[in-house]
Amino acid sequence: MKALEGVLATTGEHPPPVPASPSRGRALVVDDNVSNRALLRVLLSREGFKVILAEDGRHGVALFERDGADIVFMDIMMPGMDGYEATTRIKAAAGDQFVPVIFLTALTDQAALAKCIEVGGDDFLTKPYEPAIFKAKIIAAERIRDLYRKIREQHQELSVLHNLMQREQEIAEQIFTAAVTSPNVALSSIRTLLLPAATFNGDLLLTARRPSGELNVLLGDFTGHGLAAAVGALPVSEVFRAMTEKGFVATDILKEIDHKLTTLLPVDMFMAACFLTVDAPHRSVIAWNGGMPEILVVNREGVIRKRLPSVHHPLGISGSPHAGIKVERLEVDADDRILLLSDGVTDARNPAGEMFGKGRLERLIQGCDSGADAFDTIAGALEKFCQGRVHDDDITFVEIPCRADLAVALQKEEPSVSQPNAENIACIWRWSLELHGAGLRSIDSVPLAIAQLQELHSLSTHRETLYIVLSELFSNALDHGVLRLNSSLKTSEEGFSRYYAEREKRLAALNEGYVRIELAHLPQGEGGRLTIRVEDSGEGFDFAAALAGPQLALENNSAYAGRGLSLVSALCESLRYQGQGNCVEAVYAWAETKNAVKSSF
Amino acid sequence: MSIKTRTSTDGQELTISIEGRFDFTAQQEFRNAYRYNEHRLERFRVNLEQAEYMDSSALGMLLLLRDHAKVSNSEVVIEKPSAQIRAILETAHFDDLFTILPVT
Repeated sequence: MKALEGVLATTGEHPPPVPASPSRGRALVVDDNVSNRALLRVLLSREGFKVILAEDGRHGVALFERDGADIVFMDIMMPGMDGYEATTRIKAAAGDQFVPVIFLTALTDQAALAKCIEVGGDDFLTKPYEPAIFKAKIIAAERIRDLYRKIREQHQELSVLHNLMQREQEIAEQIFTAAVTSPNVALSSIRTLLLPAATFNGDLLLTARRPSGELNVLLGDFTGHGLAAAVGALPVSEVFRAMTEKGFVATDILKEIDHKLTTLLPVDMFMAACFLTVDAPHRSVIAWNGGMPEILVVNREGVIRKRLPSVHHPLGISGSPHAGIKVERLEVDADDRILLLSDGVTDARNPAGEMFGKGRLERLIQGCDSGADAFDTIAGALEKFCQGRVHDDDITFVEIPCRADLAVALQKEEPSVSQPNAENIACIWRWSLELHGAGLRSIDSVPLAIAQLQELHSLSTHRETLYIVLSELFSNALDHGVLRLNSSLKTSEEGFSRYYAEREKRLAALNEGYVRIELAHLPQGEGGRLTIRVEDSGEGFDFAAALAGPQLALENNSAYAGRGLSLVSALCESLRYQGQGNCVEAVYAWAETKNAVKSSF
Repeated sequence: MSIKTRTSTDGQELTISIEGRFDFTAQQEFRNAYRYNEHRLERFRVNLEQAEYMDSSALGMLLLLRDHAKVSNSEVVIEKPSAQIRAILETAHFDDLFTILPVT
């Protein structure tokens, strides 16, 4: 009391005027003693507080609940509601805001003082006290309060930002799904397990059908996961779909994706990928693996028949010393399944930190003979293994059956959206392309011709048929005419690979010869007639015998090994060889309103 | 995870040693490890003897180092990876892009 009396003495009988704009906020004084209140009013006003006085606990709580306060000074012993209870209530009313409560009391026993803190008070000061100590306590309390306020503000800012980001991610995810994955085909035949580690999946599965019906599949795994990893998926899916649709081969598509990603992505980002072209009816698969776990071919007994390890670094790495992307061609059986997986599968960890591992995966595959279903078994085992642990990385597991009906299922699944265009039909034009020597090696002429056709006509359903016709005629001209390969090699499984090896060798050394493609169009009725003429520099062949032969070959269901002429002749109105057999002319007629020219197709 | 650097006595080589999991959390520290050398170095050595794991972000970091080294025409050598890490490097065919020692 002495010290405070001193304060009063210096200030005189009348309290000094309250500063016009108290800068330290509102101080609530709760004390039943009138002189104590007066004393604190003076002291706190001089410190820059706007002072509010309450005569007892109940009054103090009421004032706080009505107007709030920035700091509270509390007496303990008061009639009605004491300081302990008032403090508990004030703290409750303050909610998640921090309002320091400092007890000022004449009590000195330890239990009473300890209770001040127990009920929620932040500090206490026993009377009599020095003004300097009193001021220091206030500063300390304010410091803590301000720190609380700052953290609270930052927390609020963060949660606003977090919500905004969440919302934006959800919107972006919808757009992303629509743009990247919803055009996927064959999803009823292919089985997939996709478990992204974040809203956005850094793993990417794309499927699309080539004009000739084969299925292209790409499984990519970008560096990292989440949004940053997913942005790269947009250009990849664009290139993949556009080039697949135009009939480009796997290596060309992969080279273009590599080029695009190298240009677009930062140095430390890239995409490991598997690429498959599945030609189920011909039991042939083209495969490539750059930086992914092994592609597995599993037969009906659960035996891993073939492993295709990574043969290249991931796509999108600049200055790659090996420009060559080489695909592998393999034979499959109708019962075979091809398994693709991202490293998220083998690297998945359980709560104990143990990895799922390659060994466990392969034991599961091999344990599933004819009856059991490998896909379900693995998906189930993986889920059980992780026991709900959050995935560190995106997990993707894909099973592609090699059944011949895969192609057929595709056709049924995607009705073509053709739009008859009257203006397209009535035009006459001629287009030709002649490739010599090395040009035959580096330029994929069939997609070029198809693109040209597409520029002039809405080909809709005809595109696939024309693609087949052009491909067959062009590859006959190149393989047998220019490269002089003997098609009889292709009749045996072993000969099949020898044929392609020889073809590659001869093509690499090619520096002479030519193939000329000519397209000429004449309008006719509702549609038109397209004449396709393909000429090569070769010696020709005995076409009379060949045209009689393939019909037999077709019936034997081995037309693939022949020159494919029976197929072409079935698709076209007419097919004629000219000269010594080095020139062939096919006429294809179309009507815009009909889906196909020949119902036999 | 911790990263230590050491410059050879002749000042020609910088060895960056990684201990523990070499993953995306190492990004900043790994970059700082090679960025501030004052003169041209003959060689950067990334010592993985004590590294336990490596993810694709770590592969990305090696590509950044490769880019950095290319400017001064310096060599990047990856040393002593464990069998598990070597398998990761080989799957990504990083043996095409870097010298990995010891050669198997």
